[in-house]
Amino acid sequence: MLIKLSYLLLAGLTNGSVYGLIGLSLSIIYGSSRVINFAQGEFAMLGAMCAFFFMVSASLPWPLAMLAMIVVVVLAALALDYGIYRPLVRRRAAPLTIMIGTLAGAIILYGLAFVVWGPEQKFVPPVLSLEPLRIGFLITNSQQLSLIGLFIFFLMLTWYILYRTRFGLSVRATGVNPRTALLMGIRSERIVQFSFMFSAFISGVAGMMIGPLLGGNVGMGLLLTVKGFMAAIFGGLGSPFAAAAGGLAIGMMEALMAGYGTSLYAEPSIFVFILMVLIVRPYGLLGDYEAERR
Amino acid sequence: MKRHARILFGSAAIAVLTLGVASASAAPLDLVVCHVDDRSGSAADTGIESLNGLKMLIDPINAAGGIDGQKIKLVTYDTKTDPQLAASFGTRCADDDHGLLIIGGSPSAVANSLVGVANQSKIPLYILAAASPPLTDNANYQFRFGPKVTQDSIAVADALAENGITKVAIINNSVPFGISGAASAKKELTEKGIQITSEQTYDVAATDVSPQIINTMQSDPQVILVYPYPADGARVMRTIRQMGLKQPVIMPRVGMMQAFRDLAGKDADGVLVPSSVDTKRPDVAKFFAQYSKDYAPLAMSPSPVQGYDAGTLTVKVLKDEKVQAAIKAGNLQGARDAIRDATTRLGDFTGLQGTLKGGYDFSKSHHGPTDKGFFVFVSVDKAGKGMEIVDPTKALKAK
Repeated sequence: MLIKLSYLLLAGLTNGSVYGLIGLSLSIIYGSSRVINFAQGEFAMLGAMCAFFFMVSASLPWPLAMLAMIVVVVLAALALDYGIYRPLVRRRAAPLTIMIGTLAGAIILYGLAFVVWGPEQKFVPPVLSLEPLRIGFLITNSQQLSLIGLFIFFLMLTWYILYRTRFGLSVRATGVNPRTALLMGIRSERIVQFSFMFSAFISGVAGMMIGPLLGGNVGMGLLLTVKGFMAAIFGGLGSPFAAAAGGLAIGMMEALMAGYGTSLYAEPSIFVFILMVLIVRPYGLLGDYEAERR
Repeated sequence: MKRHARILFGSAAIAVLTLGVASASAAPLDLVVCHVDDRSGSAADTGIESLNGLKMLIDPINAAGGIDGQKIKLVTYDTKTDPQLAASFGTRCADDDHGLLIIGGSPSAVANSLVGVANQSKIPLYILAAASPPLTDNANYQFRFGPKVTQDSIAVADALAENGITKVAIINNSVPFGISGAASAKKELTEKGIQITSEQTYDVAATDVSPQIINTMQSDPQVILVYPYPADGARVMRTIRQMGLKQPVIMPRVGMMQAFRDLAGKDADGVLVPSSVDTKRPDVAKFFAQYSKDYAPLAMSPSPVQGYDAGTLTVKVLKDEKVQAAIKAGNLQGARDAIRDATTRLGDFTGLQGTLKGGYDFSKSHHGPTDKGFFVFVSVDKAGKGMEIVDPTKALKAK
């Protein structure tokens, strides 16, 4: 009984960390620009595919491959910022138009990746071992465990940047009211640019670590965007931490539902549950709390 | 007088033209066969291999002078996993190329589009690998060379029942392939009196599938049946091995795919897959040796033999007396109808696909491979690099 529950909690934590990482990155961009970036999952896809390219095709050791991968995803984020976000904002486009712009960006990134890597599944080499690892009575592997560690690390890093630095204060101020922030001397375009780059960095690293477990393919971004978006909506879109908590909650619900209920209906049941929560709390589970904190 | 001469001349000209047109339409038809299948995109391998298999049959026949002195003209279209493109190419084959027959449709979506063309343009269609069962429901012009997904399930249920297996657990992903595969397996296993100890579904985006494997383990099955995609199949196998489950694992179709074996590596070893290609048959082994020589080495893929078998039946029907009569009379629709009828008369044959106990059964009421004796079992080995035909009796014993 305890063994089963422990396995379920570990699985929930692992899957929840993946959803939470994408939700966190989505929310960082939303927090500064009020735009949902539909290309977020594509950054994770680029992370996985670049890991394959630099580690397998270019035979680089993983630290170098990770550096090279970060350069690629950050460049992709800059392209999204300069090519889609800024031109639309400067033409006073509505947020919905900018969101459709990011969707177009996602399709372009997918198309470019398709041309480079083709439609086949790629074996992304693990950074850590995939061999069974025993922790007490639980058996898992280091690569899977690293996702939980990565989630905690990025959560703390984001908290530190946002709440313990003057720069973080500027980011939050831009999110609340970009015009007022601009009048106070904060260059909001730069802040949004940072949030694009930082969230691409988180998603890229997440993609590199997820790739060996999910298998790398150019179509994986959409699934991750959907899960990250669910996490962000469920937790509360305005706050990166609420989105991260939403991801964990979804992961846990999936695991417990699969373990004790019926796994066939786990996904629809969770969607229904999220919908019910949103009817009661339209800003997500922790949305109000974060609104007050601001 | 001048006016009468003009009328006479005009009438004569019209008569000559009419006769000319009439004699032109009576000219024998070309033996146009269209191959309409994916040769790029996600299912590119299936179309490339089926076309290669088809050419291995047709090229020597054409080199020897063709059928009754007429060479088979092969028109090829690449459908790029796009159903709309498939419909457009199928229509071009029927209307512009005056094709007698279409061979193609490896992905079900592409095959489905071609079925629409076949019924609308009344042109026979030989479907290749597509597994969706409804493709040949109430079929008139369409015939299938690849088995339906339900036929895999029948083969698995038969093998389990014959080997005294009474408890099976099913794990599948939550996409249509996984759900329909599991549903068809459940139906066939239940009919054989085999108990389903656990049914587990997982999301393809889940990195950790241990909740499903824990439930499977606790249900204590004798055999585990898995319906995944290649990437999540590798994840399921890794977790099964990681948690120390020793039961035999059967993974229809995906277990043979290169992508699954590459991603799962040594965790793929021992996975059993029902296969419609029996490489222990000397003629099949000879075919694959020749294929390797002509194109590239290939391991047990059904697509080239499906192309070859479709070509074999095409040649048989094109030689048929009634078909030849329609072709020589220049009657295109007559020839197509005659091909459809000849397929049901001549289509009970053993090709390279299947076993010597079961091949194709094309009749008015059955338009596909036989339900029994069509599959052998292969086991993945050499850290996912190899596959070997095995005796299910030995392979289904728990380790």
